[in-house]
Amino acid sequence: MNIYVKRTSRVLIFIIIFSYLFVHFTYVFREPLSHTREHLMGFYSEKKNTVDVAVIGTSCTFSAIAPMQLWEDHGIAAYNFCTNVMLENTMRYAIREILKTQSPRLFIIDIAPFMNGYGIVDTMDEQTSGDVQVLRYNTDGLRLSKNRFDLINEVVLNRKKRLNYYFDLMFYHSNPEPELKNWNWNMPSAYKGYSNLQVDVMFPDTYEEIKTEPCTVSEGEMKILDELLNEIERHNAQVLFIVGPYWPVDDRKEAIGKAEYLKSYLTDRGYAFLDLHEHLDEIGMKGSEDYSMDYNHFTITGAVKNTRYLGDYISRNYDIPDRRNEEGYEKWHREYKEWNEKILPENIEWTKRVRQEYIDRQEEKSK
Amino acid sequence: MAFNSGKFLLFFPCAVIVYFILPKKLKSIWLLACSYCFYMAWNPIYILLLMFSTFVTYMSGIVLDKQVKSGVQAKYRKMTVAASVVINLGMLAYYKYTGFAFEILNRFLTGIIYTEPLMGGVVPDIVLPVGISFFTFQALSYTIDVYRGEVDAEHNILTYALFVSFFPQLVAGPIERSRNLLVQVRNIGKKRLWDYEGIIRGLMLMLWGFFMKVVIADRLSAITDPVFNDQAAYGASMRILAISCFAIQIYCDFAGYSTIAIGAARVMGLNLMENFNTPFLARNVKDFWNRWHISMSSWFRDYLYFPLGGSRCSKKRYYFNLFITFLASGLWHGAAAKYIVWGALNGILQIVNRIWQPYWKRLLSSLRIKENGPVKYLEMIISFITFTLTLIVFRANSLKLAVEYALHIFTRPDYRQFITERTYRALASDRDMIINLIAIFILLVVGVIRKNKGKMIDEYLTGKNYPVRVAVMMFLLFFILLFGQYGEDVYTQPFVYFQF
Repeated sequence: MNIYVKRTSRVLIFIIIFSYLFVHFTYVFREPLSHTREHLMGFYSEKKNTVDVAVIGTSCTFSAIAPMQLWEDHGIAAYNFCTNVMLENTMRYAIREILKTQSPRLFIIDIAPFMNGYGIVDTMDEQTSGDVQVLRYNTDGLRLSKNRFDLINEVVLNRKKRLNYYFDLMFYHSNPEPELKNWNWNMPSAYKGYSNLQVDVMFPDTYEEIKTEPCTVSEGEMKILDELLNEIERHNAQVLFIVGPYWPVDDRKEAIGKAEYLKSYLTDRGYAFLDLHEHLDEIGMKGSEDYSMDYNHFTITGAVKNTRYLGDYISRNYDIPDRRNEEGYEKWHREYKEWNEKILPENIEWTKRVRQEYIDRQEEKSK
Repeated sequence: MAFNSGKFLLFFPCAVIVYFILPKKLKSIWLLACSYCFYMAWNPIYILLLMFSTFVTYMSGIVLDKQVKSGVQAKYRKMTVAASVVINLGMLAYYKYTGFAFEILNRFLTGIIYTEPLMGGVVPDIVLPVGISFFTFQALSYTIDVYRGEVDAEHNILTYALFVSFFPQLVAGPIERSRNLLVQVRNIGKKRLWDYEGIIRGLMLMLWGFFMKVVIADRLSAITDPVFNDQAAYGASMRILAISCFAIQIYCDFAGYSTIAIGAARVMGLNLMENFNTPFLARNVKDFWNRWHISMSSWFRDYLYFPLGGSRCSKKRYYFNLFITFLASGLWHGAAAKYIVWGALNGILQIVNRIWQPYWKRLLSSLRIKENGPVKYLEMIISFITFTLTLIVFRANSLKLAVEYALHIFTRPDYRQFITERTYRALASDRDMIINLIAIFILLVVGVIRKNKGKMIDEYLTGKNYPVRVAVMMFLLFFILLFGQYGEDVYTQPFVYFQF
């Protein structure tokens, strides 16, 4: 063999082995930040082109929709591609990431990130450890790829800090608890991106509707929204925008006003919009049972009720196939069994317990 | 720009790639530009000092050359050398020792000669230019070598400037000699520099250097620094652990830097001198100093110890020469009383070693113990412990604290508590300790190979087949990436020897 060919091939082999190991060690050492990585890792384990409904949103979204309930009721193969505190900017990259391996017939996009206004991107500059965590939520669940690098370029404003995000091993290498099961970053998950949150809120079961004047959204956020719409149009994707079944509380008038403004903006642009907040009674949401952290995060019971309503809406309005009797979905049957026999009852039990603890704490305080 | 910084990891490949692409005539200029950029990354203004030292020694070389050719008397040549030495050492003294000198003068002479402390007792705040002790010594060695006729004067100032400022060894050595580096710098552009094996071996050395620095030295500094910075809070066992860790830390820090420097130079087709040769496998303090910071030790040997008379004189004078040489080497390390005491301590140990050795050999012989038998391990341990104990003076924040540190070790043992309560866990978890021990074991294995086979890691691996080389390099690479101290929110130390 020619000496130059031999040397070049040796260097190439070295680079390939290094790259392979580097990527996979990165996954092994990634720190668990909340449940983010389990959400997205599970998505990467789905077979190509098997997910029909992809849900994009934040913690409000992943606690509101239980994909396995859609499977049980309608045979809809759905996945919550959500992260904690998803920034408005991230939604565009989420679409790109999903389309790498799946061709969903419907994207459900929760506008909660715009309502909550986390990602007014010019303020997200690693000022505090909280900011670091938000940025990590958004970036570290994704596999190493160009799309991930592009997202980092957009949301991590401090250029000097980007290297730490591109190659998150630099940030996580001192993690004392590496997890070998993360090796391929595709651990199957019967949760399908659903997750619930600590219960530390209870509302009364009766409510009064809040009267809000539609308020405007900042120029920066509207620009991000328009970029999101351009992305949707570029892929010719079918999209349903939603607002979760938030509980009407007085101090969130501004956020609710924003939702109303965005609803009118999006419907004017011809997009389908489902405001679940307007159907609280039909969904059967109860202030004392179905909310967890605040007015727009949900317990498992809230998620099941909401998902049932949403599933009915989707099956009425969209042509999403029932996959329950199709080949290639054996994994979904197994996972549904796990969900139904283990995860769901355990979550209901857990919610009851932590709610009781919350009630006990409140009573203790009132004494 | 430290070797273990992100900047260097970008800088070095760019510098090397352009270096290989450029036409032969421009290679030296490019390397000089890179070297100046490298130095200016710390404090741009201090580049003037580097240029000044370069200019002074360059001119001294030219003048000496002319003096030799025109048959000028030796005393005039001596004056030329003296001028160069005075100017360079004067510059070094100003930046490094002014503050210390003021402190000494104020402490001992106030009330005797002065009624009030000089400058109101305020010590001048002079920022020490990084690497000044290294490049002034390297430049001075050139002047002296030209004077001695050991090397021809360099007439091309760019070539000479590159010899003084060659970036891999500019700020922390090895302190190169003109006989070695200048000759190679002259040949840049004249011979083929692209050498696949040389590049691979250079990269292997760099990798090993990074392993020593980022994994071993920096991980151990997380144990040593807290103990020395708050020694009252730690018992005897932790102090022993800390000083033992410091011995390994400083070795890996400095030898790691030197190894990266040697590797980086080799990538570019230049060979730097070896700076450390398994000092912890030395059998006595004399042997130790032949293996530790070789470029500095040999500098003092060639330019101070030999001119003083070396060992070819009376015993008294011989011991005096040894003592002075080590005293000077201590002072070279830093402007503080502790460094002078450390140097003196090493000088005394050298003298004791010279006196003790014949008795030791006689004792072994009378007990019929082979010199090269297992007793050598005992000697190595004694040598390590001796050096480690001297380091208490070197590392402690003051002489007073050093004495307290040492006395506490010997007078207030708490070993049982250390073992039963595992008090080290206050500074390093069990997992950290295991990683540290694995890393030190690897260091030991590489050291034993170096000593027994006479080969550095790059040379040893070159003799192995490709899969073995790849496996070893991958292992080191990922050990650094996974367990090294780097990145944000991780405790890291600058290279210790930068401060000298």
